[in-house]
Amino acid sequence: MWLANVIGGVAVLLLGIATAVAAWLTLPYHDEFGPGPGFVPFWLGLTLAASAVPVIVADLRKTERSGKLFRPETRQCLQVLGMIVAVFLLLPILGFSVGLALITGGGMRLMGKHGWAACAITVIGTAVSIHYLFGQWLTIPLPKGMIGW
Amino acid sequence: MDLLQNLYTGFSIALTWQNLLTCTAGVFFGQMIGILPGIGAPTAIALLLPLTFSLNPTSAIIMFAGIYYGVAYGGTITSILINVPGESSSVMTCVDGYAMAQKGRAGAALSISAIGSFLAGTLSIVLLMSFAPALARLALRFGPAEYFGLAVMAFGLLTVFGSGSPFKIIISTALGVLISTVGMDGVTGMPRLTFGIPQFLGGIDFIVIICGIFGLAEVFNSIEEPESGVLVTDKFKLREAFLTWQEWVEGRWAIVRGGIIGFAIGLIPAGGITTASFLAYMAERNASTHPETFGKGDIAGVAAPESANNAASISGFAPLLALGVPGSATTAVMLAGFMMWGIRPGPLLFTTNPDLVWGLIASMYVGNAILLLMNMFLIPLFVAMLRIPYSILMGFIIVFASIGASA
Repeated sequence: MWLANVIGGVAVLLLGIATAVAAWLTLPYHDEFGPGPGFVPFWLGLTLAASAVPVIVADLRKTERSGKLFRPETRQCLQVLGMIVAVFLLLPILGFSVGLALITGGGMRLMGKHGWAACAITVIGTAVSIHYLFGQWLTIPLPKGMIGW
Repeated sequence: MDLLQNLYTGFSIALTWQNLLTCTAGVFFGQMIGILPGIGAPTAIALLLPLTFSLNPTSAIIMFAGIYYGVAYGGTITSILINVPGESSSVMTCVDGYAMAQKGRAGAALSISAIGSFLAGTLSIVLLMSFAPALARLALRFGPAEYFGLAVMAFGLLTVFGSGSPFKIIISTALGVLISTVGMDGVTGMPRLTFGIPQFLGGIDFIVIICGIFGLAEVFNSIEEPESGVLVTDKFKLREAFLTWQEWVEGRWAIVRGGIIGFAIGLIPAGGITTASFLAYMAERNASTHPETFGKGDIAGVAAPESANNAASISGFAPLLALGVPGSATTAVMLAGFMMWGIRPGPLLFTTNPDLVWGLIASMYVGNAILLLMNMFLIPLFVAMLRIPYSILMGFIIVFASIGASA
């Protein structure tokens, strides 16, 4: 866990510095009404950087460095994350209803012991439900794919 | 005496079969929509606007009010059962509500939410009808400095009372504020931290963030720690929905405190039900003799924010009715509804449209009672959701979070 904290801390430190520098260089700190658009991001960047330092130092000074960064479950996490990213990249082709339905079926295959038939039924049922419930009845503008769903 | 006379008139309007039906329909639809993460009260009212075209203005406004507090409670259900807040006002309920569900007390958490919402809502209605005009005028005196002070106080409370490293809390808070700064600067109109991406010009919606943080994070957390994904395996029994005496004792003052905080915050334009639930949770934790149990399934941590958000959703009507100023996005959509029927809310509304005002106020009592009854009977149905295997539930959490984020 300590390594995850250190990595997270360094990421926040870099983000803070980048935010403060970007705000200082690209946005006015003052304007005629008072604080400019760069005022808040600049100080937020500094706050992030300043708060990350004690977190990093505290974890680097720990003598007990137990825990692993990658565990067997991490692989499953990455698979699910990869599936979500892949589906969202393919949304212009699949459409929102079918894409999300595939995530549901894919999750059942990856995480459970469900058969292909159960997964297929779930995918079809979910796609139809999303399309008609959210897309048609609630008229939420869902991105459509090549089949028009 | 005038007050009682007006209330009598209000009840005679609210208890007609047509208004009872519209109130029940509003509460039911509001609750169903509140369960869907990301579809908030303003969206719900906007979506359901066509349903009211055939109604008279009083019935339509009563239906809107039912949707409003139905949504506020509906968001609680997913917060407690699957750690996905249906509404931003239910974010704080996730903390202890979900922890209670993991301990097998989901029914009790839902019960205290329903009872707390009812009692605090009723308290808020009494205060609303007694002090609405005067309190709304007081709340209108809040200027930018007061809002800034309120926000700073909230951040301060978070750092002081939040669990874990204070530096990590400061980082989380600063990251949240940083995300909110993305988009067009409100004063100068200059694009800020948009990196040339036009979609960022409108900012990053709060609901998108919470759908990701609560919805997707829950999915990955449950994969990494499979035991946390096992929600419930035993069959739920109706008696589990009832509170134990000890739970009631621990939760009752949280309801009162949450109700009062919620009422006060709801009056402040832009105070909002989310702020109310957040402040009520923090205040409750501060008042508790055992603050270390907060975050681990403390019933007061569920009762306080739930009472506050329902009380705030009702007191939020005060600025709208008394001064014609919408205090939130939801009441702004409702203002549009008032306008659609040619009604202009404001101080004169109490004299020009007493039927509408007092019918609405009386319907809030009725709506709260319907909400309580509906939930006491539907709790087993909601808890039955917990028996769905996580491999299936996971996909649906992603579906709801994604639709919520895109709605």
